[in-house]
Amino acid sequence: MKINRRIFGLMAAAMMTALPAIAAAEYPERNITLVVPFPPGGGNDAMARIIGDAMTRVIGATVVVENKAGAGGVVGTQSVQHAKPDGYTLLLGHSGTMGINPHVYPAAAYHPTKDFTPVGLISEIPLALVVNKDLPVQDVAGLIALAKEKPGALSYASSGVGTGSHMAAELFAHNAGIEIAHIPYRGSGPAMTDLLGGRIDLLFGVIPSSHAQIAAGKARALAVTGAERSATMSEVPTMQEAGVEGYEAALIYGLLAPAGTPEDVVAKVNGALNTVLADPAVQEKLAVDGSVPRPGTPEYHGKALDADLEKWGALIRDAKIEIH
Amino acid sequence: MDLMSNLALGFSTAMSLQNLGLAFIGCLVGTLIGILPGVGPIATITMLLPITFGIDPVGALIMLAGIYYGAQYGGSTSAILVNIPGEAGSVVTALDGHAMAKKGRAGAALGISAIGSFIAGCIATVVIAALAVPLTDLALRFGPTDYFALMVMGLVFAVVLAHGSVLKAVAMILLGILLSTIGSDLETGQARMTFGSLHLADGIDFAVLAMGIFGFAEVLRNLEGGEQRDVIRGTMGPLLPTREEMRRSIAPILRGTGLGSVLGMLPGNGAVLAPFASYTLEKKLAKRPQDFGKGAIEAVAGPESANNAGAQTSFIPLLTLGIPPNAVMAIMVGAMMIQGIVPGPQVMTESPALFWGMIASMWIGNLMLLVINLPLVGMWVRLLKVPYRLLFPAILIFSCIGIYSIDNNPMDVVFTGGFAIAGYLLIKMGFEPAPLLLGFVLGHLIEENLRRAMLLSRGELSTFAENPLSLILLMISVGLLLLSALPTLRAKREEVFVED
Repeated sequence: MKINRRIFGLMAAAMMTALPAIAAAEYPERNITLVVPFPPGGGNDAMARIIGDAMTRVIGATVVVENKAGAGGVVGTQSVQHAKPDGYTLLLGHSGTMGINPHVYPAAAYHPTKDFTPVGLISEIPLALVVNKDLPVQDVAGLIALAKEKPGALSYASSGVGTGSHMAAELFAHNAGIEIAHIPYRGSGPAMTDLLGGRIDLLFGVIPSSHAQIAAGKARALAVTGAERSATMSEVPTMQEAGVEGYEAALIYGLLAPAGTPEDVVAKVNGALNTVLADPAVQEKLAVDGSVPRPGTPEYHGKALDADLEKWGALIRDAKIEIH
Repeated sequence: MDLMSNLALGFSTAMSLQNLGLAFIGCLVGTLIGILPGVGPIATITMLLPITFGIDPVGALIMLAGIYYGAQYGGSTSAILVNIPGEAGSVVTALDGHAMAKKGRAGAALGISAIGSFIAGCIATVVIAALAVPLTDLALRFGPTDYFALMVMGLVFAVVLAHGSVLKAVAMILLGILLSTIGSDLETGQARMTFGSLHLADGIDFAVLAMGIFGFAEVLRNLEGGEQRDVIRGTMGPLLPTREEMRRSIAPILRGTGLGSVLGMLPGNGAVLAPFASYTLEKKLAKRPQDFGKGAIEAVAGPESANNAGAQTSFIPLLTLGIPPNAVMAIMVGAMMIQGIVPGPQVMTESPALFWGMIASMWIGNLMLLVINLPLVGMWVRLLKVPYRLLFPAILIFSCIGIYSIDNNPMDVVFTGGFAIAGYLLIKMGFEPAPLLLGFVLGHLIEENLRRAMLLSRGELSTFAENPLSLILLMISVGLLLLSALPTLRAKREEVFVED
């Protein structure tokens, strides 16, 4: 069957002499699996399904989302690392799995650009510095002053060790030279619950869901962590505007393939991804999680991955964050 | 009346032909998948999540809620019929529900759990509609110290759960807690007792453990001799609960509903305690507590109602705050995000049709479950008449399919096999698996809340005493423990509870 189809493809290609590369014209000839290294129902899963669904309509093959959860994303990530590099197995990777895990999990013995082929950046998710509504500070400077006055007295919640919300807070503490206590939770929901309940002073959360609490008067935002202000809460300054020099912490999300995936296949998937990211309907859906689309070439993605790995590695070294 | 106009809006949304159809399909599919032994609501929703993507947000959430109730009910069915609980809530149902099935009263057990769930669902829906908003702020005051105290009290319930030796029950609880500590440490990320295996990095899945030590071990025990098989195949009696059984069940159903409604609305997954608390309460109140564990209908009616009421009120933190209190609700949040809705307090005001439509659909879903399930009772009961030599391979095969489908991981099936042998040996030595499972479920919550409370208080143990609620709960637990440790009472207790 397969041979017949290939011969048929060759014949068809021979007839259409204008076609440049036969291999690329063939890809994709079956379903593409997009591995999400987290369970269904989270932000990662939602993003993969939005992108996968849209790409199915562009690339000419069904993109099937497969959840391979476990060990903070290491299980699913490694399954793609060792998959056949033919473009039929793709990975949704982000700062947590690609930039932070290699520094904190001994089992995550992979390198984002050496063991994977970057296919294309999807988006950046900046966070918001959210404080308890009764905390007696009005801005970041006030928060830093309070933390310096009472070292170690303020508590911040994270959605777990080594997650973006943990690292963003550690980077803040490091750059501002303050001491705040880490209270880890399982996921962002319970962390926000204790902030609303008044037991936690601050946390770094995804902008739209934080905004929902802020709009209801249950919490306040002091800054956003991206390089630019967020459209959702445009009145809130960036960390740099608020006086924390050199602070930028946005989580990057992208598609990756196993190392050694052919360039023409990567180019085709990258093209489809960028087409999809230009679609306003897709942008609107991604915005629910605070995603800011960052379409670009595979090289652009590769540079972003290397920079991310370096940035979090430096923080974990310099701030002496003890994990294990 | 605001409430009336809101409910009218909700019912007009939920009663549209499309949404009614979606609620029905959700309940039906949820029941059918959830009935796979060991597949609880979380696994079912996970599997069926993608089919809701093409539907509008209100319809999708109504369907998901239907799948959730359906799977919850389906899970009770497999707990009663083959003694395999798919989630923590149905462990309690398995205890007396399966015992009833062995006595030929499977139909009554299934019937009372459908009726109890329906009554609980109706009351919980009213609670949500009328009180969701004010209760939310109250529930937010519940902090780690209070959760810790509440879960400790839950462990004391576990002693009551057992009907054999207290010492053995305590040993099982501790073993359960120990098993729950396997996996990554929440604070440090350190892998604990994983033997370097990535498979154990997230700990043991509840369904894997429960299916092994409950269901598979039960199969092994049944294969020992012919006696029990005949019991299952014996006379069925009236299919549905008799008038007398209904009369005995009404009070437990109402008490269970009350307990479940209160515990369910706590954002820290208090619902998990509801069926255990109800079982304990009913056993304390029962005229013949010695029947508990041997097929007392009160022990099915109460916990099942508590479970369903808790499942329903656990929507409160999701609906009013946009914060998921447990894994099932977290999947609902994901579904909302895929639909383009940012979960949060604003959903109530910005999309009232969604908010009230969901609430109205809860009641409709519960009604549909009753309509779907009562006729099915006869079918499930007939299933038990299949000779055991044909039935048990089917149970094992479907269980393996169920376990595999939870995470697509073959190692899970291997682990289930391992736990089956362990479970069989435990039963042979007179250790009961239910306290172990409760210890396992509460172990996580106890550890996390204890450490969180200590972190927040910067290591001051007095934090538990300063907080009035946790102090009261802890004192009740200590009191209960002392009571059961007093020699005279213990002698009496053993005389009452010892089996054989």
